[in-house]
Amino acid sequence: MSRVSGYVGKGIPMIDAARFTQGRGRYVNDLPFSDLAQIAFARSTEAHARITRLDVSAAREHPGAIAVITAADLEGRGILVNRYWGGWRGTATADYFPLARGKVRWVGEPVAAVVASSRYIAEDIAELIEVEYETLPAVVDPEESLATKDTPLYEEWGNNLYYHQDFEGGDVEGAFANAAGVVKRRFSAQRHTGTPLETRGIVAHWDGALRELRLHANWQDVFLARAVISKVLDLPQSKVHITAPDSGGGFGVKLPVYPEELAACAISIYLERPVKWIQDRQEDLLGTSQHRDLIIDAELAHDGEGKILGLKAGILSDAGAYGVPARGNTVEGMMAAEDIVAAGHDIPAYAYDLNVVMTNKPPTCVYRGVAQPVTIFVLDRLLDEVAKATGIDRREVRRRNLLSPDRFPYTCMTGNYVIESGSYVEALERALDLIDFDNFEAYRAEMREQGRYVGLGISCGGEALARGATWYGVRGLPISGQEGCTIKIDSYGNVHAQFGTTRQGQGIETTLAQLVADQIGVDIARVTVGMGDTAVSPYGAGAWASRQATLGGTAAVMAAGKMREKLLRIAAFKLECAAEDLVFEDGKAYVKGNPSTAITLEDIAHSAYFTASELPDDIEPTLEETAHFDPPSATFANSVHAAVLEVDPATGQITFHRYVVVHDCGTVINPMIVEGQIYGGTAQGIGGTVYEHSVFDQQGQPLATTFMDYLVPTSHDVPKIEMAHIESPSPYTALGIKGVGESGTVFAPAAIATGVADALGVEVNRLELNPSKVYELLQQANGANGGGSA
Amino acid sequence: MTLAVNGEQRTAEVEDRKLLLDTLREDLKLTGAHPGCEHGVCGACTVLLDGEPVRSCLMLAAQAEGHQIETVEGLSGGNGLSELQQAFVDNLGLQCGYCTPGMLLTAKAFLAENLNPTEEQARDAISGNLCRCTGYDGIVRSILAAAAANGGGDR
Repeated sequence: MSRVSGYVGKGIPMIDAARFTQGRGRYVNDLPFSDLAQIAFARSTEAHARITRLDVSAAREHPGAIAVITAADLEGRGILVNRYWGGWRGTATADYFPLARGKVRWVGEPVAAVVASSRYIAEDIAELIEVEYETLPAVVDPEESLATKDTPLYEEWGNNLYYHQDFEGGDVEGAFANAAGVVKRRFSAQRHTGTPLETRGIVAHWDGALRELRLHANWQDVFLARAVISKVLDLPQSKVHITAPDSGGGFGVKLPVYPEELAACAISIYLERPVKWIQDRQEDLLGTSQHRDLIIDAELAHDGEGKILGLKAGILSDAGAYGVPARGNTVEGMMAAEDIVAAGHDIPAYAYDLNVVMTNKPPTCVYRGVAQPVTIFVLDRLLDEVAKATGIDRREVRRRNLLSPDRFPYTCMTGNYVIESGSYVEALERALDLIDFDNFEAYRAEMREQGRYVGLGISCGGEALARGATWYGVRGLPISGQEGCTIKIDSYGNVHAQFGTTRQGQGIETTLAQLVADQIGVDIARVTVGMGDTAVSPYGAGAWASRQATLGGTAAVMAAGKMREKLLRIAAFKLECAAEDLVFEDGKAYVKGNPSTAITLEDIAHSAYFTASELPDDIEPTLEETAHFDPPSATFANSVHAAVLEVDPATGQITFHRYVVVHDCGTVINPMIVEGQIYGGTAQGIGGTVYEHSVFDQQGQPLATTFMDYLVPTSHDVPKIEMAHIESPSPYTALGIKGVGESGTVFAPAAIATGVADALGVEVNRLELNPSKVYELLQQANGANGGGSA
Repeated sequence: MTLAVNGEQRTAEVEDRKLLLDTLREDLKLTGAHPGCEHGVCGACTVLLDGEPVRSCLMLAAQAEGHQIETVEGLSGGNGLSELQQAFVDNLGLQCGYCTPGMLLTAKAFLAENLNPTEEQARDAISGNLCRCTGYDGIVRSILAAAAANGGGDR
């Protein structure tokens, strides 16, 4: 299946960009509905407490109050029938409710909901709600959480352990016993989050007569949301219709079904009227999922010549306060555990021990890159330490461990991944040539003479993307590891392709339109693309793991192939020839060498829809084809980021002199969109390393709840990136497509961390490199150099 | 109250405390200005007030009476896309589009004063507008392309 012509490989602009420049986006907060009531939540001000008094009577008396709703009200009506809790097989579970019942477990947890005609009035009323708490000890530190049995978040558990998993494969004992050296370090990364510029939001409309729930929400996976909501509310999925409107960014944080959205559904049912909730930024920083909060105790055994013999990892992941549906909170920890040996290095022996523990913070779910920014950091740092210990240079150490092409297909140690193709070594060489690695010491010396500290950071490896059913479905979760495409050609010959994917600005509708136009053989102007609508989309799973072009694209090629075959059969019949004798291009079919015989797509469509009586019996009427692609457990892209950066000894600030990315996402469909993804991902990788931190005090009070404390990178913080591309097609996907969306976020942190380590001559073992942390490292460097000024 | 928006007189009846942002969006149905933080940092709510970029989330609607307000809906003057808007389309100046109205208006005010900006100047001009998708490069290139289309040479 590879017909490449016309559009694939071209950097065409996004097909509907124009309306966004005119302010004609249709985000959930823009959708016009009449008679919508608005919801505001009263939220917990305590991180861990029993609710001793909840009094909504004053709130209910406010003249603007349509309703004030508590958990007791919803329970009294029996609206939430089944458990609301997320997590795959083997995770601990609890009877969690989307409005607090008896206990609160994180600052910001919704305690009651106010419904009024405007958000202004609803917030006024929320302030009248009276809550009293009996404070319980908050657990904020994951190591403390793992150790303690006192006042666990879920008393019935007796502790805070949400999930444990361990593994051993290959001769780990032998690898470590025979090693020439072992590098052992504790690595960690600070908690931070995605903060899409558009916050979460939902419009929920329950029609009590038809018993149908109609939702508009900027979820990244409408099918997951439908599965959770229909289960919790005990409705058939056919009676829950979800549409994802335009979305102002997702990055993974709009995948969960959070308490507020489920509460909005329940409230619409309770009141039998449409309701709307739009999250504000403070609520986002209080309650949207947070990530990267990992401690990894890693040990690497090497042979004295730079080659990895074995790896051990003790991983602790901070899960937050409740299991968020549907994924739950293990993905960060589990991907740290498994993907560290699936990053393109040859690791013949591996053992891990993973613990995921609850704390009094918002839940941990998935954010662009998921764990891989931390595991790549661990690997690159370990390799740099091996380089130091053995005197082998940093380039050579990486070269000796990265997979060369003769190693594919390479089965990773945990047995569930096969790296099928890639340019791991080639990309490394290309990047280090581009950044002039061989002459860097001269540049460093030149800068040092001016009293300036520069370093060269290197991060390299691959990412497991576009996961199949083995990751979630086989573990018991209603998350689909496949993707489908339905192509319909209407009776006038216009092509419409419908997908279960969703769009958050990554240009997926453009990418898919390019594929469909090429595969069928029509002008892209005749192709429309729809997605994210449970009523008309083929069952899918939306945006995560850089999967939509790979899986949606392959399904599109499969469906388009079926459609094209049918079009040719009908055309062949009408032109009284064999299908092989036909040319189909630019929306017309004609006998080879005789374009005057041409009939149009509209002619063919008219036959299929209205005169099927004149077609052979084995051609079914209408033009509609569906295909679903069931992928392997993952496909693998690879990247190298190389950065020359400077550390200011007075301020601890980092500036980039050069930033190089060499990137391989297989066959490129739209190079402009690919570059945009790398830029955006790198910006988030920089933000998550240098600027962004979801900070909590010892009582579990969040300290970064506005953009004045939670710092998102500005235009001054993202360097110009020199990009080079390699294409190693995947043998599993149509046209060899692989994913690109997360690579910037995965590789930037390690490039920065190894660069700072190189600049200062110190170890950097924590991915929290804001100026004050860098300043601490500078003090260390000075101490190591015997004091004196930097 | 009466607000002068995109050259038209528009009337609305709103509470004293209603923000300009919410009035534009809910009462005047101009949903191009977006709430991103409601505390003046992100710039998604940016509109032009007498030609200068302001945060409509930090203004009351009442404060805007008597001033000329320009929103993204007024950019093309009813004629398809302006050169600036087209430059954003052609140079991947947007991905999700949520920051885009604020970026466009900020850029418009900047280009009115800077006909031939350097890349550094263009980058600085948008440093008060957050974007979470593009990494800013496409936006800077779009602004420079718009400047060039308007006769500003290469710098």
